[in-house]
Amino acid sequence: MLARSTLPRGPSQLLARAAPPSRCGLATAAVSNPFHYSVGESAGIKVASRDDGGPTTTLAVVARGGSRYETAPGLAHGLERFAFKNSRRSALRLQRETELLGGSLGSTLSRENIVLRAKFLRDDLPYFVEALADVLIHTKYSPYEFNEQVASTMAFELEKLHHTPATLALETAHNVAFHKGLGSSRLALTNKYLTNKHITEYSKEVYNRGNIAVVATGAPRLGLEKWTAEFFKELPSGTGPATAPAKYYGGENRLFSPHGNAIVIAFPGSASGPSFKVEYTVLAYLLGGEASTKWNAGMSLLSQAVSEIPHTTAVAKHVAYTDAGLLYVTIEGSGSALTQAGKNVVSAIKSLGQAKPEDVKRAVALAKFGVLSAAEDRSAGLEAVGQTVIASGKALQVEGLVKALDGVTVEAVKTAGKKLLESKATFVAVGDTYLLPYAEDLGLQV
Amino acid sequence: MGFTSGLALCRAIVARPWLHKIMAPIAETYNDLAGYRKLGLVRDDLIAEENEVVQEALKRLPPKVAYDRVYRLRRAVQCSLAHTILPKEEHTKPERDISYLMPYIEEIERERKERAELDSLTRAR
Repeated sequence: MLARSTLPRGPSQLLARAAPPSRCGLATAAVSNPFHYSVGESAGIKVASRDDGGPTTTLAVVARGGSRYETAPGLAHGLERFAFKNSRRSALRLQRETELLGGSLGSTLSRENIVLRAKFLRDDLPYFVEALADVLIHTKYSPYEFNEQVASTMAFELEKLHHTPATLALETAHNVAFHKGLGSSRLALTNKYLTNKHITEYSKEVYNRGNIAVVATGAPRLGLEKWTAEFFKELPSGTGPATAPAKYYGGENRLFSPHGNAIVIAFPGSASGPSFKVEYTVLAYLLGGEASTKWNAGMSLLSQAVSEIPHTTAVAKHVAYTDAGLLYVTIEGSGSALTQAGKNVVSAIKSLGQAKPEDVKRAVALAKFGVLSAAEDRSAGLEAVGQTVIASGKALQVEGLVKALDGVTVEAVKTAGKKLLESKATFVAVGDTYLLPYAEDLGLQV
Repeated sequence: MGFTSGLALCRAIVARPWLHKIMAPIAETYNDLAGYRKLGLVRDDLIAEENEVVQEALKRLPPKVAYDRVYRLRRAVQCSLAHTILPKEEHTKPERDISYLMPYIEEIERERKERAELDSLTRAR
């Protein structure tokens, strides 16, 4: 086991520790329910873990500090990109030590959360709990580090966003749908507000006890709680940033982009948490758009809708945030084809009210598989678990979702489908705005 | 020899109050006699900048500090060309003669040393 106390002795010892002969921590007993997260609290920090007995561990610290909570534009992005930079130990040392242990570190930013992740061999749990704690507690946020290392990666991500019309359209759709807060840009569009002072202040606001959750798969619960209590003890207490509840507005926006064409049509969906309406997940799978087999359009409503139009795809997804949701369809293709594709997609959405029972049944099966495989996936599931743990103190349990999916009726899906069109839609077109249709042309009400 | 080798000696002296008491006036007199204060410079302005370490340190300076440095250097060059020194009230006061560049140089040297160390790890038997 590697703890901080072993580090000052120099990296050569660390190298020797990197290949321990024993795998004593490995659970050998079969696990009855691999999806079940047990939630505990250690030193005021919520800790969720499940032990599937595997030889590797995935650890994440979820902090409720994504772009919807930021106090100035771009702060969340800046803070996320500062993860694993100089803290008590230098960024270089952390990176080299992680490599020696065969682990990997990463961070992601969503609208609601900043997630720090580590993947490593099971025995190295203490080292990586400490590494993540160091990011939260000791990162220095020096201005020159921002100029030398952080700013360039942020600029790259922004550039990438502007070269991906579908993602840009989805970003804009969020802005149109939710305005401020949840609708604010995920990435920093300008570095104007990203001073050392502001980022440090925001980090203090976000990284505190009441506002984070430590989530792990493949780690023993007791060990995780013990090490969390030890390494996170310097983390200040607090409840995190305040935010106004999200409100759906809807509307239309068009952006010119020379890099391709995309349309996003979005409708209000269901918020996550205890009152989550599974009908919306089923609706997203009912619309579908992604084929289950290669070289095949698939049987879902959207893939049928655009199957006649070459090089065009339409995919429906549902995202659930803590107090709002968005069901959106992304249509990509050549500019001239998108008007017809859009019309077909809108008529497919209008036909949801008359969905056939066998289609709903197929959608439920797909949704069930989607939910279960996402929960099984160690990287994607952790954020959702962390988010619900911070919000309600209870882990999102997949069994509940699957049960709800089993109980969903065709009528409920039809009603939800009809309800979509009652509210104002969100329509965003990105690309060659001369060719791309207006919402009015597709028969949408915005 | 790095730029920071003198710092170790300096710290060793400061750590011993009796020695510090003896050395401080001597150092102060030396700095005064060196004459750079009469040109409005501070001690860190005298560090030779024609090398990678100091160049990187200069890049890390906050904008205001970097601007002040350039201003002092230009004023000193002007004095040198005119074979004059600044009027008495514009001389650098001893309490304003603070080390603004050395901490950055120290940090960069530490970073480089660490990288060299990590690049040549050997496995302990």
